[in-house]
Amino acid sequence: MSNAIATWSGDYYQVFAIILFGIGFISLLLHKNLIKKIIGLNIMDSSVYLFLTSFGFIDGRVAPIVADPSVPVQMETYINPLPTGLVLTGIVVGVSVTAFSLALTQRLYKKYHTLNLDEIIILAKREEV
Amino acid sequence: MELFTILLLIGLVVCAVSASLAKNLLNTLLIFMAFSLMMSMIWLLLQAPDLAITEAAVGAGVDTVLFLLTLKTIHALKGTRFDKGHDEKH
Amino acid sequence: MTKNIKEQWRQFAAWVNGVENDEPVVTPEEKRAARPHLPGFVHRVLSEKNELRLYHAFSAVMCLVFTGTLLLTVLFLPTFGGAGNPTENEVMERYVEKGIEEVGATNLISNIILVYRGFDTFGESCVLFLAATCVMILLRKDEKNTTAYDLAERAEDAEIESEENTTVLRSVVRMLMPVILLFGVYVLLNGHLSPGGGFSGGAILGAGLILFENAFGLEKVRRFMSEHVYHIIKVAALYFYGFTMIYVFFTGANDLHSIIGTGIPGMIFSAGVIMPINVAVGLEVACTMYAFYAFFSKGEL
Repeated sequence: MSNAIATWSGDYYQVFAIILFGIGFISLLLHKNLIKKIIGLNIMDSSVYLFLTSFGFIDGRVAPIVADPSVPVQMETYINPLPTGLVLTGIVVGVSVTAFSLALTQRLYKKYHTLNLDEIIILAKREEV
Repeated sequence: MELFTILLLIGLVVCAVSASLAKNLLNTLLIFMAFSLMMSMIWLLLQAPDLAITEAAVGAGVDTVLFLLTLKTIHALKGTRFDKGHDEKH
Repeated sequence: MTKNIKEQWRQFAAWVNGVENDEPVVTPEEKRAARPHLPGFVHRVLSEKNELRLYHAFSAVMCLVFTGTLLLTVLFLPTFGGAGNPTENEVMERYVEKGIEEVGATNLISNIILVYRGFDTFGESCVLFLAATCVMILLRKDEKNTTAYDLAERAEDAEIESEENTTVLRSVVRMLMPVILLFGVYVLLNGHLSPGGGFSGGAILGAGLILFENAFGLEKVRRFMSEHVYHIIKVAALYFYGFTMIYVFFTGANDLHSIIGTGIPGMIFSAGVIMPINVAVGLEVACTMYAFYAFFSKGEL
């Protein structure tokens, strides 16, 4: 157990990312309000980005931007640039998803005048009959 | 520096919890904006300045504007002229 | 005494949260009928409220188990920040040590996202394009999407906006606007030398446009950014990006030669195709962000 606590306190970025993931997941599951659900989804997004980026970080190294390109570049100077590049793509896709789901929410509100998902499902069933 | 990082991470968790517990949607949104700003500081500490710039411009800027406009459309901004009862809509 | 404080706190919380006085659209009976049917014995043992509690408790337990499993996984992951982790492998070595020689940008991340993994970012631009198109389909102001009530509401909004006294906002925007646009263009054009690039620069430009629209209204923005211009920029940027990627990959994906050449690393005109692609992506992102705003607020560009 003490071993586990030592590992967790060393990997604190990953631990906090997983806690954030749990918070986002539970608010996605339990909230009935669509806006809250979208915010929970965004929190989950951020936690995954945090988890991914923390793997690229290496102690004592700097961001992968070369100050003096005339000197040959040493790998030991810079952190791993690959996770950063992947997460950069993810952030912009996250914005697109948010905008799309907000547009859908607006249309649902215009039709049913409520944001409660349960009520929306009941009203939609009522229309079908 | 490590202490500052852990404080920021705890702040992230506090923001996430209070964003999902707040009753008013506007409060949720403002807390989420603070969450994005803290996230962009954490990107700087993780030596990823590209992510910091993008998160600050997109997460705290454009996302918040889109959420606010949605709140206006769904009449959730209480106490303003956008707050209307259900009766007027039919 | 304590009761009084509690009451005051409740009032304060209600004031902060805004008082709920909405009439229910759906009656409780309907809600009861629409609930998912649990197995019969649960129905007999538990009341409705407890059944809901059971569902919530089950969700919470599931979430906790999931989080706990993930936390256990962390124990077997490599140490955070340690040199020589499995992620520090030959892929990273190639990207870091050969990046400037092969592609030419001193910001190694833009080497990766725009040339080495260019198709990835191309797909992302397509996602942005699709999202903007979907938002346009859903929220555009036409006879199918908007009712008479929406139109009346928009007219009322426009009337109030025209009467509003926005002198402070306008003078501040007049001062800030050139600085914001200059910063956006700087971030956009220096994407291969410093942090930034197409996405962040485009988002800053889009945010500047949104601020301008807020202060001066849609008519002023239409002088340089009508729907026609928006379509042209969006499609042209995407086509330019696609054809550049095809060109780069056909003329040697492994050696990454191009007619533009890598130039002297560190200069503004260097790094081959990266700067043109950054400009294309930046224009696409700026247009998309502004279009999101315009369709969300007014329903038209």
